[in-house]
Amino acid sequence: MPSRSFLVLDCGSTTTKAVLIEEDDSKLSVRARTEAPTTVEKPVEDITLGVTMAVEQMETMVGRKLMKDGNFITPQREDEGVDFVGATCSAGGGLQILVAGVIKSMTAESAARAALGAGAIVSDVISIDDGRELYEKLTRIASIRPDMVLVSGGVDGGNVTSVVKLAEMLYAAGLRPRHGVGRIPVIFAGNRDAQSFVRDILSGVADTKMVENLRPLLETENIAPARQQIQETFMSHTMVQAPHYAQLADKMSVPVIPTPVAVGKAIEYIGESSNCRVMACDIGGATTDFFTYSEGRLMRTVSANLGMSYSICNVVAEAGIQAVQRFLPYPAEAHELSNTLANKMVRPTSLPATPAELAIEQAVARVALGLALKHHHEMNRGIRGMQRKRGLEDIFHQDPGTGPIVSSMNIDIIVGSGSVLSMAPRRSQAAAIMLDGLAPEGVTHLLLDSQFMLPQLGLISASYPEAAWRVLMDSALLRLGTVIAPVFAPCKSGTPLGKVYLLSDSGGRDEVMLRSGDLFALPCSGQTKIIVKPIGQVDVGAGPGRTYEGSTRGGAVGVILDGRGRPLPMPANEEAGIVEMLFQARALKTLSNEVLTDFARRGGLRI
Amino acid sequence: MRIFSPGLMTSPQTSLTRLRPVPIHGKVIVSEGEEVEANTVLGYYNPHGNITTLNLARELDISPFDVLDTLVKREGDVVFKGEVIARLRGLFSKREFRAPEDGVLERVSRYTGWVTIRGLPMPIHAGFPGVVEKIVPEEGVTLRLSGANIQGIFGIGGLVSGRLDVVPDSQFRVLDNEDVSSNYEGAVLVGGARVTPGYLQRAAKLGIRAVVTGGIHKRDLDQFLGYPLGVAVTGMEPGITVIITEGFGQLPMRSDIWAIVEEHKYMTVYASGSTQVRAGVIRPELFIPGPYRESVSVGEFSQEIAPGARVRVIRAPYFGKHGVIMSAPSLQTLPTESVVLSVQVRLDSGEVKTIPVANLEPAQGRQ
Repeated sequence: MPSRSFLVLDCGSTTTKAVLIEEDDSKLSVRARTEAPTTVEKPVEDITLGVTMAVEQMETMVGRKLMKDGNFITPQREDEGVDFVGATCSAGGGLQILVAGVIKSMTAESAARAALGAGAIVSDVISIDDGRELYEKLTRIASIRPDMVLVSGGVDGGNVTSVVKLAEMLYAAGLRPRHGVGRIPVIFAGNRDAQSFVRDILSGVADTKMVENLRPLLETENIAPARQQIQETFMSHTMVQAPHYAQLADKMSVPVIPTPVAVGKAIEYIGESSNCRVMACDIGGATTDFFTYSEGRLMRTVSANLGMSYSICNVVAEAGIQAVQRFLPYPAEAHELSNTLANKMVRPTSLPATPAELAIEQAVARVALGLALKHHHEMNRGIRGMQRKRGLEDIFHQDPGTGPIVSSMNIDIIVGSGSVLSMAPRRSQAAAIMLDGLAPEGVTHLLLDSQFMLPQLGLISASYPEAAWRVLMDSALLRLGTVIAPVFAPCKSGTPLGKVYLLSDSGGRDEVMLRSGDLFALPCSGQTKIIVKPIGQVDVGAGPGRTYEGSTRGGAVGVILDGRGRPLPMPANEEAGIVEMLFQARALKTLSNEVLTDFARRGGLRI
Repeated sequence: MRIFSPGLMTSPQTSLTRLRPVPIHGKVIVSEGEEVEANTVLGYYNPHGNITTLNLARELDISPFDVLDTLVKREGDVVFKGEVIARLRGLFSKREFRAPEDGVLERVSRYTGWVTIRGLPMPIHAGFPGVVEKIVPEEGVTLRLSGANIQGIFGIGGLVSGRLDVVPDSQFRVLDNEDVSSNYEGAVLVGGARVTPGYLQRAAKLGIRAVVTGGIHKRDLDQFLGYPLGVAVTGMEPGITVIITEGFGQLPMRSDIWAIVEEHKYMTVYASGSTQVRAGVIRPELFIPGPYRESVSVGEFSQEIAPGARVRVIRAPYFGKHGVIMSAPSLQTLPTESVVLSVQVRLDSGEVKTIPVANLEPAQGRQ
């Protein structure tokens, strides 16, 4: 019998994952991992059933009873039960916000920006002057069942009357929460002098939250507090809304927490323990969460409109179907591709069963990562040309309003999580998705949440920090490899960029010239020194033209040398794009020879 | 180890509950347990189009804070057109404000001085024969109904009713403009393995209430909507209701659907395109009410994925095919090199294939 055991669950929008961690002879390890579709659909419509299915699979795998009569057996005794049961949840899915402001081109527009910046889908933007009749606005408000409402209006010390009219309009329309249970959250980010009136009018029908005015002065926009509140409310209210959520929470040893909060704890630990700047992404079914850790601060964005199942068509709506076609290693008709993705949207728990369909999902993952990263940077960037109220995130900036918080060149470690990455059949596929989606610059180490356990480990870290972090570092995090991606001015393909030296502690030595357009991997495991001597003004992380020296411990893919340039250039045409992806697949060994040949044949190519 | 999978219900006779919403500011007048007919009034509500707001403070030329003192009528009072709502008496004059329309004096704001008059309440009828199962405060009434029910995978548009009709010999073909005529006005029209935007536009123009079909191209749906659909949360789109039963592409409707539809042709039916594919999943449906029967064999089917269960494949490469499960779920390696929980399925064609459990949904009803 293990000396300690932990059963931790993550209820995602698409799948429910269960992980059993056991301690034997002071050594903690992952004993088993199972997953089942999250059961939020009629006629089942009970999140605890998906949990039960995942746990029953685990019982079969480990030969130990973990549940009895629908309840977990705790504490562990002889050959049954566990000491700790916990869960994270994001089953509520995406975020839809109704935005209301006084003036369409001012406060309403800023509020819409805040909502979009928070990664939401904006259901509608209502304003006093939007041209619609009152009854049309009321009908529209009543027919939408958003997850929350963001209200703005009036500069601080200014107009109160119009703001009150807006609140009364919302009251008259009858705000109702999506699930018909509880009160809909309403975030008021307008004239502070109107706060008491708004609270007075709406508190009977909504869960009102007051934040700083997002337009405190006409020429000043301050959307960070509203954005932050949206994210917090989303996580605490929307994400965890799932049928029978309360029954799930009752069965746990500790309160259920939103998945991004748990993942954030894990990323903080990685950053603190490694003393590095870390970026992390978690691509889920409904949302893509991004984290940046730098100098003791964690920043998190949840793109509630970008995911691999529920929101998969939104990825295409934002980026265009050509963006997905660009990352396919075979030709695909746009409308057939659209149908495939739409079928995934309406049957989100289905899995790709053919290499072609897997390639489609991995192409979408690349696009989703790129969009979510852009959103993450925009959330934390100042507003150009406008006086910007400094907030917490300003601590990072030397030059407010001109760039992201931490540039890609300065990121040391990227951690990838989410089924499409963690459960990719080949580790090289996960590396390729991160490489194309995130376009790391300079020298960056890629880590993978290999068993899709970051949420669970983040959860148990609150109660058992040492146990959580040992499993994280020993079992969960897998080194994919290190990317060397120089940044350089546009030049002809084949132009030498710099000499790369890999000197392993075991005496091995590799020396290659990296050229523009190159993409290949060198095997590397074990402690290895990296030296890159750029040519001209090429920058590999130490500054233009300066030699970089660092180290790596290699990984599953080794050291990836990426001379394609940044940003990633678009291929000249469809055939060029397919050739590029086929060469990538061969260079990084993301596909078997059989599949590679089949894809090439579809494109009328030989490889 | 039990495995369940959500399935789409297709049942010739089932008992189900549906929320019959009484919109905001409504009042329910029936009681729980009461049997109702389609034309029974469940309650009254105030439609949003029927609202008037006026600035009483400006009309009387007073401060908003003084408005309440001038009221002759109170909030909640019924007022009639021309009736005095507020009166301001001066030393030598009198100013009165009269209701511009019949309605209910809903709200008088002491902050802004605005007055809201909502039109007189409208009745909402049951729409189906059934039993009032539960009164949901401020939401409406949950009715228990009996009848045939067909769920689709995706839809657009709200709840409509109409005469059930069928485009003949259309199970396997694409329906276009020329397939719809004014003969179908007022119908809930079933047909086709796929419809075109032209078909939908013409159907809407001819007054067809709803279209039920097997499939549609995503690009055609976007063209019809006028924007790219990003998430499957629908039901508020104006105009014609559309229900897709199988998925995106050209996909013939299941034969059990045809059987039910043919049996109930020309009856009044209800179609809802509302879809929500996230927690609290809602699927579009076609409901054919029958006389309410207290005890009816509930056409529920087992969602369990187990040997002997009849299933439909919902993902390539066998999308749309039916079969029977031959083995218990076990971990199998797919052509993708993924190792996933899968079963052996004998397809109706006779072939036996390994298919991930996640790519199967129970198939029920008559085949």
